Amino acid sequence: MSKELLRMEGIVKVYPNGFMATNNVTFSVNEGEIHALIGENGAGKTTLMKVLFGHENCQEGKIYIEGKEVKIANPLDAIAKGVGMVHQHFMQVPNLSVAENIMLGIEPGRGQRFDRRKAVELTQKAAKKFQLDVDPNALIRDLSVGYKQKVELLKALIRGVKVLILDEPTAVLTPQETVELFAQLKNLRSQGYGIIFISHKLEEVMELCDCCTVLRHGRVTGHVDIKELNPVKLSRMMVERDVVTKIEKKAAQPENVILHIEQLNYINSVGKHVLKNLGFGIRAGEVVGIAGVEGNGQTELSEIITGLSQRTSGKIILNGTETSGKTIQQIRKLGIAHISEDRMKYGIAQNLSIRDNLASIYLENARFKKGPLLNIRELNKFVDQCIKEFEIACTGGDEAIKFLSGGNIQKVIIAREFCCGANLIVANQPTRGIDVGTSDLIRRLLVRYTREKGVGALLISSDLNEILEVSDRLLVMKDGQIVAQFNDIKCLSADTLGEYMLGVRAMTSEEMGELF
Amino acid sequence: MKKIERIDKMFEVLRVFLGVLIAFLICIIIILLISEEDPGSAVYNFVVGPFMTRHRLGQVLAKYSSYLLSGLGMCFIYAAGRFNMAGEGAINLAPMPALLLMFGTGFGLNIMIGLPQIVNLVIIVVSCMLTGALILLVPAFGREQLGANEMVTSTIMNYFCMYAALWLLKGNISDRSLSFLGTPTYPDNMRFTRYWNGSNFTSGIFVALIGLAVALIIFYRTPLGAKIRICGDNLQFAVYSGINAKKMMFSAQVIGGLFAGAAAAVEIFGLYDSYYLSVLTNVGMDGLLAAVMAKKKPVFVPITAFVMAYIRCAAAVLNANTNIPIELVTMLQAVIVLFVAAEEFLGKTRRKVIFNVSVKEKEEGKDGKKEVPAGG
Repeated sequence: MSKELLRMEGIVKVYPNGFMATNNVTFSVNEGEIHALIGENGAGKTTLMKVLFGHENCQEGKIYIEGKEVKIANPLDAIAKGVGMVHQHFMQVPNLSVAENIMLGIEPGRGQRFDRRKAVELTQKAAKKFQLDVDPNALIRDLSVGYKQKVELLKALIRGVKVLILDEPTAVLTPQETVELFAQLKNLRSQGYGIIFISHKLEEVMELCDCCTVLRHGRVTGHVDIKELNPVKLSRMMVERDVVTKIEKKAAQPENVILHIEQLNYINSVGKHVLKNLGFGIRAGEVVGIAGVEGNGQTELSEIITGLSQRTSGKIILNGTETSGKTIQQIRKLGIAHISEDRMKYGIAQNLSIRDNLASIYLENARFKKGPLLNIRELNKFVDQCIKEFEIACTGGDEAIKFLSGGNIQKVIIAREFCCGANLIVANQPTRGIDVGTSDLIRRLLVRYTREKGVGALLISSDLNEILEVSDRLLVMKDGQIVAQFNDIKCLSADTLGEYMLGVRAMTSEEMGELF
Repeated sequence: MKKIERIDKMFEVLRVFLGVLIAFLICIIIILLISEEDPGSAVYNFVVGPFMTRHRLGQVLAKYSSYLLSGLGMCFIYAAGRFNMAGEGAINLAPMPALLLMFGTGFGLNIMIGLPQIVNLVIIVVSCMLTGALILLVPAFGREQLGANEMVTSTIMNYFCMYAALWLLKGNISDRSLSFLGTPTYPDNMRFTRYWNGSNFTSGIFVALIGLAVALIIFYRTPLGAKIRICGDNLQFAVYSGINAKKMMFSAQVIGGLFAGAAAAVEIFGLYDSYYLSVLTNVGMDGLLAAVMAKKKPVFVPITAFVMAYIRCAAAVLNANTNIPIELVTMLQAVIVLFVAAEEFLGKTRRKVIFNVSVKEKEEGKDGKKEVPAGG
C-alpha cells in the first residue's frame, strides 16, 4: 500500500443561497495514483475541489496533507502546501509567453529585474523532466487548447505540488489530444504524483484511473477500485437510474430556408480572424448542429447571428431580411430566440424575480400591455403557465431567480425563449452544467418544436452525444470555417467526428454538398 | 427554498434596522458623554423631541415630503446602476425658472398674482420638475455619450448649480430692501399652504404622496420600470433581451431629475417664505441616503425617508434646546450609512443560520425519504 498523500474528512459546504453542495464527504488520494472523482452535474465535485484548492471555505471538515492537518486559506496557500489545480478555464495571460506565464509569481531574477533567460531555461528544464513538450517562447494566445493545458500542468508542477487536480480536462480536447494528455498523466503517476481527475466520461475514467469516488447530491455513494468495475455499474452509482436518453424523433422534413449566411467574416478586437467566409443555412423543421472544439468561432457565430456582436463583413438573412445594422430588438422581432452559453451573464438578472426574468423580452408585447402600464394579470397568467409547463421548481413568480438551482434557472430561460413565437432558435451550449433531467427536457423541446411548429434550430454544443442525438444535420467548425457536413448522423461515430474537429480530415465543398 | 429566501430577506431588514438602532445608541452614548448639564433631558430631546409639539412634527413632515420625492427619484437612478447625484444641486437651481417668472416678468407680477393658487402651484411644480430633469441630463449625457463618470460630474455639477442659482438671484430677482440676498416674500397664492397654525407642514405633502403613487406605478407596473430594473441588475442581459439600454439609462436619470425638481418645489415653496439659499441644502444627499437604505426599492422609501426626516429634526431640536451641536447628526448619518452599506454586517450570522436550516432541511428530507418506502 502506497503512502497516503491527501485526505479530506467530513467536508460540509453550504453556499450562501442555502444550497448544500457537499455533505460529510470523505476522500483520499495516495501517492502514484490517479483518482477519479465522478458524479452528475451539481453532485459537488467542483465544490469539493474548490474547498481543497482554497477557493471556497467549508463549514465543517478537516484536510490532511501527508498525514498533517492543514488549513487552506486561498489558492496560493494551497500551492504552497502542495496542491495544484488545472482549471477548466485556464488561468493564463494571453499576451505573455509560455515561460512568462509559468513563472508568474515566482519570477527568477534579482530585485525587480525579471531574468527572462533564466525563466526560459527553467521552463525547458521542467518540460524535460515532466516530459511536457512546450516552447517557452511561444505566446499563449497563439496556442491550441491542448497546448495551453500542458502549460497549465507545468505551471502547477514547477511550483512543487504533489497533488494535482484536473477539473474536466478533456471537456475542451479533441479525442486525439485526450490520448496525449492521458499519456502525460500516466507518466506523472509513475513519478509518484497524486492526481485527482474529475470527469463525466466513464470510458476515460475506466481507461486512465486507478480508483474512483462517486458523488451524488453532495454525498459519497461509492469508493471503488477500477478493476472491480464496469461502465454500467459505474453509471448506476452515478445517476441512480440507467442513463437512457435516446430521443425518439421522426425524420426531419425541412422546408423553406429561414436563416441564410453568406461570406461571413469576423475579426475580433485583437485582430484575430475568427470567422472566415462562413456560409450555411437553416431550414424550417430541422435542427442543425455545430460541433467543434471550443474556441473555433462558435461563440462569435451565435453572438453575431443574434446581434450581440457586429460582424466585420458578410450577409445574414433572417426570414428574408438582412440583419445588418439592426438592433437586437429588431432582430428578435424578425423571429429569433437565443439561449446563450453564459446564462448568468446574458440569460438572467439574478436579483430580480422569476416574473421579471420571464418578461424581459415581452415588455413591448401588446399582450402584456394595458395602455402605458403592464398588464400584470396577463403577465402573471403567462408566468404561472411557464412555471407549470416547464416544471420550474419554485414557490412562485415573485421568488428571486438567484434562489433557484442552475437547472431551474435554465428552465426559466428556455421558457422565455421558446414561448416568444420565434421560428429560429439559436441554442449555444443549452445543457452545459445542467442536470440530466433538465438537459433531456431541453433536447426533447428542441426536437418537438422543429417537428411540430416548423421552427428551425441551431444547436452549438461541445457535448458530442447530445449533438449526435439531437441534430438532423451536423456541421463541423474549425478555425472559423465549416469543414464538414453530415446529413446522415446515424452512421457517424464520435471518433470520426473528432478527426474532423481536430482538422485531421476535412471535406471538400463537393463532399459537403449543399449547405443551404 | 422558500424558507431560505425568507431568512435572507429577514436578515436584510434586520441589517438596516439594527444599523439604525446601533447608530442611535452610539449617538445617545455620545450625547451622554458630551452633555455637560443634563444628559437625561438631552437624550429625551433627541428621542422624542421631534414629536413633542405640532410645530416640530410639522418640521418632520415637511422634510419628509422633500426626502420622499428626492429618495424616490434616486431609486430610479440607483436601480439603473447609475450614481447621478445632481439631485442635490437641483434643489437650489430647479426653482429658478419659476422664481424668475414670478418676480422677474410681467406675467408673474401682474397675471400670476391673480390666478388661483392651484394653477400657480402647477406652474411652479412643473417648471421645477423640467429644470430638474435638464440638470440631471448633463451628467447623464456625459456618462452615456462621452463616458465621463457621472458621480464625479454630478458632484461638481452641484456646486455649479448652487452658484448659478446665486448668480441668477443676485442679478435679477433679489429684493434690495433686504439686508441679505433673497427674493421678496412669496405671495400666498404662489406657495404651498402652511397647515397647523403656520407650521412647516404644508400642502406639499400631497405632491409627495402623488409622487409616491406615480413612482410605485412606474417602477413596478410599467414596461419602462421593468426595463430600468433589468438594466440596473444586469446590463448585458438587458442588451441580450433587446432592451435599448442607453435609452433606459437616460430615462432613469430624467425621472430622477423630475423627482428632484418636485422635491425642490416642495422644499423651496413650502419650507421657505422667500428664496435665500446660499449653500447646498443636503436634501438631495439625504434622499440618496433614503434610497440606499431602501435598497433601491421605492416601496421602502416612505419608511427610510421618514427615518431621515426624523433624525434631521431630532438633531435640530437637540441643537436648540441643549448645548449639543447639530453636527452630531452628520455623524449619526455616517454610522447609519456604514451599517446599511456594509453588506457583510451580520454576514457571518446570516450564513450560519442558512447553514443550519439547510442541514435541518436535508435531514428532514432524508427522514421523509426513509418513510416513503416504509409507508409504500
